[in-house]
Amino acid sequence: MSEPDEFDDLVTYLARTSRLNRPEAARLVDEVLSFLDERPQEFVCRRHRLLQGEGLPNGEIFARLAAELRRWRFRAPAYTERQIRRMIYG
Amino acid sequence: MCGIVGYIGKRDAAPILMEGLHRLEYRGYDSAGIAVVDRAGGLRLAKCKGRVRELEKLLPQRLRGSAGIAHTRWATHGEPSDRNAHPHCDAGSRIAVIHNGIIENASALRARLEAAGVCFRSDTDTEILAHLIAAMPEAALDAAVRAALRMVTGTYGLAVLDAARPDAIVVARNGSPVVLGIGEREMFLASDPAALVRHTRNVVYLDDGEMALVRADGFETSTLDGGATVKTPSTISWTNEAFDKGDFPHFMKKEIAEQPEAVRRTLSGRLELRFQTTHLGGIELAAHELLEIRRIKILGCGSAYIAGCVGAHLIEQLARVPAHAEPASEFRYRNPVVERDTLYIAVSQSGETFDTLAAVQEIKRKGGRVLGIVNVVGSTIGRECGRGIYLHAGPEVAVVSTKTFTCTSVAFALFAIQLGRIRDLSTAHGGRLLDALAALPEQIERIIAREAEIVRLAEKFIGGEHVFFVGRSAGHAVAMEGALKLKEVSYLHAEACSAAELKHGPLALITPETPTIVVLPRDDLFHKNVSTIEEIRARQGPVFVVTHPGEPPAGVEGAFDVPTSEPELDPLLLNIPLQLLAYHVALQRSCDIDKPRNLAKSVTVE
Repeated sequence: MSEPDEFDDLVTYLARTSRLNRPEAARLVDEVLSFLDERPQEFVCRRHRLLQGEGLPNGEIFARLAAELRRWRFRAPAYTERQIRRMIYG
Repeated sequence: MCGIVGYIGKRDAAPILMEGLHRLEYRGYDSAGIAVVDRAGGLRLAKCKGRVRELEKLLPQRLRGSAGIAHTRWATHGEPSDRNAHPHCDAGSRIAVIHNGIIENASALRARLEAAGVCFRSDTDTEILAHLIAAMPEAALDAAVRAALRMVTGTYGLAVLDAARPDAIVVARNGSPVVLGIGEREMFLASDPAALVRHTRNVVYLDDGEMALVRADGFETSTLDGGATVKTPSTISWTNEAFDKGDFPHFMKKEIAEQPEAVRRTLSGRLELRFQTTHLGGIELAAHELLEIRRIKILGCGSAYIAGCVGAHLIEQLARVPAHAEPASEFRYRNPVVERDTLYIAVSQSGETFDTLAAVQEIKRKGGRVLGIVNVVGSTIGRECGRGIYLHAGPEVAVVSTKTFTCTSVAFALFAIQLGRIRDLSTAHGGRLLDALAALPEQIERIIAREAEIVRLAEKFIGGEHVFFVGRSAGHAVAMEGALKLKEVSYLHAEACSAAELKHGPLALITPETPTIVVLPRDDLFHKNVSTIEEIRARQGPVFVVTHPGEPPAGVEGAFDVPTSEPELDPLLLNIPLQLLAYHVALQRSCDIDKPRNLAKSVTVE
């Protein structure tokens, strides 16, 4: 899923600082990015189904999801050019 | 330590040589001399015990001649005296030789020459070379020098001038540095680029076992066996201005003040914020090689050794690799076991320290891997190691090391973080350390800005004879460096000991007249160090502390606090006030701060 150029720095860094060679580092990056390729809504629904299947009540599930959402890494939502400009220049 | 300078070209040599000698004064010396071939083809020689300015008084108003050599001597064989000063000549005053190093078979060669009727005029080993070269039947000067050197065992960096053949100077190197400076139809030579930098920054470093025939229009290099060698000139990055004191009264003061900028240069381009790590391209060890390291041994002499102690602590704490520092001189003499999974690190400001260089060569001979941490680019240790970390601290002229101690400690921190991040150091911890490193220059500036407080503190030490420095763990290395600085420049007897070791002996020496400076960071060991202070106070010993902000322990007579950093980096900041203290104690005791008695910068002999 990743485009190699976008994560070239990371692949170079991993190849330099671990026992991985460059193709292995590229694959590792790709695997991790695939694993994290979820939007918050998709994540919440998936985890809710899973925890519900374990028999947890909604009150407990929601508290756990709130904590997990603070820690998890997500792809950013789509931004318009106007929004990007405002991020930079306020 | 001894210094060599030489010139051959279109200008009069004497003023250039004298200026070069002044540039080499910082290395420490006890006598100086000059030899120039005058326009009539005679060898004009002047030399004396004492300073270069004394030598200047001996020179004639106009000393014309465009080939010459000059020397500052730091006595090894023979006392400091007029007759032992270099250059030394043969009986016919045709050959003049200046020499750094030690001829080990001097006694045997001297006996042989005396048996052949040679009368010696000095006690030096160098004079032997002049007589040997003059006695060689070879017509060409380089061939005669080569033949003479085949009979010599020992170390040398030397330059030879022949009044009968003044169109060339021959230089040779074995264990003592020689650098050639390339000018416009003129050539310079020296043992230290500092003597050349005013005239040219285009230089060639000779390797061990190499010699050069130097003429005004160029040079030819060869091995001592006569095989031609090819040298590629390199460019010195330091400017002439970097060797000037500017408005500072002493180089030591200037170099203390330069530390913020020097640390910035050591850090420059090496903090990889994106990955919370550091990147030292020059170490040239792949990750898998760094992961295979089981042990790290650090070697250096003097402040370089103590910086190695700081480094060993950093490496153990951040990379969790066993690390230990040892004086290079001890290491090389004990037939060390060199292990393949040990990484050796050689530390030397000049990159020419003889014992450290010998240790590097011993490690390489036994198949070990060695990194260099040096300040002078192109130096022998830098080239011998082939990989390592350059400090980029700028020239350090004062005999006592200040900014390069700090920058070496910073270099070790960079290395420890890189090694740690490859192993188990977390991104969060790496990030905190990077922030702390980046903050160091500004924190050092804040300490230096409070110099007036140190001046007042120094007043309490000037009348005493002994001072103890006490520290624990990494603070022990700070205490060692503080004691070394104080004894070097102020001539007070200063001794460092581990806080834990105090009660195993040194406590017997604590009296009301013996002040103790305790390195007291507010870390996990703070309360243990406070207990040590109480032990000293119970014996009526006055206590001063270098510490972090907060209420100092009861009963201490003086305290100086430094900004807090990450605990692992505390030694770097705790050391700065001790440098200033040594400077101001020495100043108030009217000591020769930049040229402490008996000491030399860059110890290039055993």
